[in-house]
Amino acid sequence: MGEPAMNPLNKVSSLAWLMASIAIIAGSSAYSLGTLSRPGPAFLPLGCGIIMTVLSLVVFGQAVLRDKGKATKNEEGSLLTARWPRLVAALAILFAYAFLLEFFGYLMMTLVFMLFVLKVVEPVDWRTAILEAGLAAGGSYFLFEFWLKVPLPKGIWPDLF
Amino acid sequence: MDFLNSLALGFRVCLQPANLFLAFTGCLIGTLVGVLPGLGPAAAISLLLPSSFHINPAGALIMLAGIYYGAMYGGSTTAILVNIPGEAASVVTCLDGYEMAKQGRAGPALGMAAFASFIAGTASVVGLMLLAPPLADMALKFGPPEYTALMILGLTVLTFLVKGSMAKALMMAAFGMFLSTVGLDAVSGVARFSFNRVELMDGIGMVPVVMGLFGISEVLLNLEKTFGREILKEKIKDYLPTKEDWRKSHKPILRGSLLGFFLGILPGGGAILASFVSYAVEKRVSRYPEKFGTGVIEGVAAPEAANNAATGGAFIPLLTLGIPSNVVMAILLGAMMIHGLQPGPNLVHEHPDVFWGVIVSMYIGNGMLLILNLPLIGLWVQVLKVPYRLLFPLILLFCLIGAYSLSSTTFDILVMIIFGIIGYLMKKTNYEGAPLVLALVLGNLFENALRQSLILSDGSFLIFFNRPIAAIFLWIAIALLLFSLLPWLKKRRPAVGVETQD
Repeated sequence: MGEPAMNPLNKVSSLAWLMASIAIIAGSSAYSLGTLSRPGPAFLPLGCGIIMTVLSLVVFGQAVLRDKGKATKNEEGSLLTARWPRLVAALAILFAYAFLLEFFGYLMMTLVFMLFVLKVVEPVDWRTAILEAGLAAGGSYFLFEFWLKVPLPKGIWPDLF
Repeated sequence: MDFLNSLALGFRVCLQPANLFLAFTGCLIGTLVGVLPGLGPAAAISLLLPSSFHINPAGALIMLAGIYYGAMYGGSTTAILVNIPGEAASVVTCLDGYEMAKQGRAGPALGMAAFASFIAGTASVVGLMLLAPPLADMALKFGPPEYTALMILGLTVLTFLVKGSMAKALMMAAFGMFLSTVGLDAVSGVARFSFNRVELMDGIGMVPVVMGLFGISEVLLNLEKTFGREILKEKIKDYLPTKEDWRKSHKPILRGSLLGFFLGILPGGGAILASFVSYAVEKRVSRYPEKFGTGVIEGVAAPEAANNAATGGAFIPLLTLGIPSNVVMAILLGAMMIHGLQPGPNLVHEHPDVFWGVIVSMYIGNGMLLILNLPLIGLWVQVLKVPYRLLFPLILLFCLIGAYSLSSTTFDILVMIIFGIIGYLMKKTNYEGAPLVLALVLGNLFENALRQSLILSDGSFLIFFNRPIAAIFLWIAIALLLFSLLPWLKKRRPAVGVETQD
């Protein structure tokens, strides 16, 4: 049987884009539209919002029509995956890295980041995790800071590095 | 004579030891990126873009361009040995390349892929060299209406070619165009959608968006699967194709080179489209089409020639018109502007050293890549054995550093992560990222050209149809849109991917 549970993805996603496009139209109303001979700052964003609204309704309509037709194979995959804890963990460490990078500095945060990923997202033994995390943090620091001259945050230990 | 002087200038720029080293670095990194699934040339160029700030403009472009065409070479290695394309333009090479490898002919397959890439890549550089300067002169006659119409055509072609729903692709293009309006409006000085954040005054950066949409999202998707790779265990020997292989392949290489070059020029075209079309053409003209997919050498030679020829063609709209024809060119356009270069018809006159230096570097780069891809095959096989559980944290780490280094703030990292989530959700629900990125890059150019056109015409849209070149572009775009509405064609529209990072 086709997976009707999957077909709502098209409907849900098109409705989400519809809401986004309405928000864009609403936001554009804060700026001047200008005239056709002197388009203002709202001209293009409003136009994009209108186009998105129309197209999201088209996609929604296509999804409804497809649902009424024969059952189709799942073309889109599932939003729910058995491995969702790994995704959540990966996103959590990414956000943590972004928020804490400048406070703790590149070396420490990268070490923590690599350890977390190697132990939580894709578990390996501690020895391997520490070794690989250390090499990655140190090696990348050398590569970016000294060779490629990319200034990296020192965090709470600027004098050490 | 002028042409020879320009070529000599290009050689003088490219043969400087620093630039030669940068060409080699770009080719090496490009091959590595091509070999490793999961990180394509778009994401790799975005990652290395901040590092290029410290290099002279010509050297930076030489290196970044090397990554692009180098990835085309490297992608065939995994396609043939592991049946996994290293990057999307090598998908078709898997069909016959892996079959040849299973038959004990991995060496000739790899060899032919490298030679076909070299011949086509070099030929496309010749084409670029011959066509770019006169096209640049012609482009000087382009005004705002022509630029507006050409960008509309480019976006339409791209949305026509993506997999799946064209409505979704157009919606992504519209969204990308909207994103380009965030920040200070160049004409009125109004801060649009900036939510009073200083970081948004200059708009949403293209680089974190690309890294998020193509790099982070791909890693998130791969986390859902167990990533297994079975590398061919037999020793690879005899890299040189036989006389019979050359007899069968020389015409496919020629056809692939021509097709690839012209498809690469087309905005929205690119290496992926070129490789698919070339394979389809060879199958159509072959005396034994039923054998395609069972390990015929033409099935390797033609798409590899096409995807490399497309890289040369893709530079033409960028260098002559300042319009990127695919996502990678869009990033290179951003790179040029960051380095103070204004891509467009004046580039060849204002910065001939950069223009000719990049073109000549592609000659030299193709030679380097031939050397890198055959004798060093053993090295690339070892690289393929790096477990994905180690690879993906490194990819994430490079993305994080790359995003941070753009302006030394964590804001860009947050933008990248958010677009990583958006890209992940888009892939799960079949929305393509390429139209979004292309529209994001073209957005400011498009808005300026559109506004200038309307000012010129006093508000009349007929200006786009009254000027012949603009009218041609627009009618082609309209024809494509109408074409896509025909129900019978919707079933037959080739499901090709577009130039994404993988």
